[in-house]
Amino acid sequence: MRRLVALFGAASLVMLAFLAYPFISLLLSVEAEPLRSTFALSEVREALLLTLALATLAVLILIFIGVPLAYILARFEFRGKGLVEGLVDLPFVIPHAVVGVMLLVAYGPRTPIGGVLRSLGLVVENSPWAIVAVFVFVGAPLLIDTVRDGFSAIDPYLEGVARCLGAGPFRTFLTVSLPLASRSLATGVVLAWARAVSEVGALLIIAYYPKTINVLIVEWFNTYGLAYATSLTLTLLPISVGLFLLLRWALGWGR
Amino acid sequence: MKARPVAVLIIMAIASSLAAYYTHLRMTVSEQQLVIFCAGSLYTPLKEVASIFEDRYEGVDVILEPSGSVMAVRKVVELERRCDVLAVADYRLIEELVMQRYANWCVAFASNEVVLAYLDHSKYADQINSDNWLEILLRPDVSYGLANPNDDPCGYRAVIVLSLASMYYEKPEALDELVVKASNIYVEEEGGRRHIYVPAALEVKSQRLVVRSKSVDLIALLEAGVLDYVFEYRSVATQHGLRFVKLPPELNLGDPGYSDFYTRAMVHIMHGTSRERKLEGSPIVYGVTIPSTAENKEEAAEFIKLLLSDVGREVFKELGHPFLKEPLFIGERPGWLRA
Repeated sequence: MRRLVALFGAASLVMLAFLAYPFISLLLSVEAEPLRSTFALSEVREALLLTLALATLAVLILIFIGVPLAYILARFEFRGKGLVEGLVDLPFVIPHAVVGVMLLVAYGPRTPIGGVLRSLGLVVENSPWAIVAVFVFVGAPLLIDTVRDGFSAIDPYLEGVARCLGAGPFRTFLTVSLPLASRSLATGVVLAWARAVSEVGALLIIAYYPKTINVLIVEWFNTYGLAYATSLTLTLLPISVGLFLLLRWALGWGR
Repeated sequence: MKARPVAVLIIMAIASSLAAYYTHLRMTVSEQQLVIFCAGSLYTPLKEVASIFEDRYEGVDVILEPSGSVMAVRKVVELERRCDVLAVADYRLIEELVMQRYANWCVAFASNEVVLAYLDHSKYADQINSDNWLEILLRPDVSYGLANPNDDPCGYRAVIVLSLASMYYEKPEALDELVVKASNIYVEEEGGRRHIYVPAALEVKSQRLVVRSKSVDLIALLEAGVLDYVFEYRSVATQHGLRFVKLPPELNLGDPGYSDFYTRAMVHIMHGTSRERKLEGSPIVYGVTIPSTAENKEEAAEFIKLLLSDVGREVFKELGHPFLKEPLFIGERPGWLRA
């Protein structure tokens, strides 16, 4: 046992050092002047707020349409299930810029579906809706896969007991299945949210504007150079970490 | 293990109301939008012109979307994205790719020149000048960066500059040493002109040469101390606060008076594929047009008028971006541009 701890501990240290060092060197490379001017800009505050708000909106949408799909995939067997699971994972393998092109070609304002959406006021190009569409697209596999695994791990017997005691299927889902899968749901939410916040390739194609924080980081990198881009990146880190911790606390993680 | 349901609900409620409110705020902005797709190197000066424009025309919100010039053109002709003004780093892109279907005119308005950018920590930074730059690049301990000629016009232009320089300084070994031996690019001489072939799968064989997709990516490496010298546009070097060596006008591709000499070098990019293109050395000339997909044609016309006026000229001058003495019109010149 002791040898395992030593060996695994050593491996973990290497892993952690590999992950932590880039963050440390980022912190060390930040210059004071760009950092000061970064926080003062309303452009930065707006981009940050917009990114966080739209990522949250995208995750909420994912919860309402993704969790039901995850439950079905975990509980039911049907023809073509493999195909559905493949489709859910597909966004993982598509290059980010191509995601932007695909969404534009499918839902852009000059496409048939886009025309219908446009008449409803949903323009999927250079608009918050386009950003939400990208976030939902790239976040979907993470949320659905994680929550499906969570539902699969629940003993169906527990749901059966609830039904025998007179709870209807919806009540069983809400009071037994969902709470038991809450950790997976939390993980899925955090992963999908983080994936959304980190997206940029697709946004550069379909929604450069309104500017999200990562588009702004790319823009600053191209226009003002590394020092400004890193200080902008730094604004994102504490907020993301803070939100993760809050969510973990709320969902009773780690106890 | 148990979740705190109240906390979860409160967080979700706050998050959703924030998201909904903010989205609503963004959706209800009813200002008229003037969308401009532009070359990355035009972003800073156009942003200035845009802010002057917004002061003059209240209620119009100018949205600038910088990207590579080829990408900007693709967004219009292939993705059919809407934009009101299209401004790129090479007017021939508009002439060749946009003017078939999406526009019937183009104005060439600004120029630029290739410089060799560096920083204080670059090797031999205290010695380099317009006369000895090639000799310093040839020193074995100096590293230098090129944008990939297949992806970025700045890259193929840098290769043309090196090729012209080896003729100009009568140092044929320079191009060999800096480009041919350092990569799988090869050169053939034909009737006094130099053909440079850049394979689609560009390979770098030297520790000294660093290639990145876009020239601005090289600036980060320069700032990080990985590179000593990079070829960049003068305007970009100025705006990034880099030091730079000004190259002689015979080499810098910024002087239309030397067009004939520039054509003595030509680059074949994407060599070995069906997308191979031959690019002759030529002066750098920026072009602008209003694509047929524009929704705010009137405002777009006003913007271009402002850009071509002394106001635009002054903005560009201050940012180190050279303007053409007289704009050049290609195709059917629209009525509002005749005045």
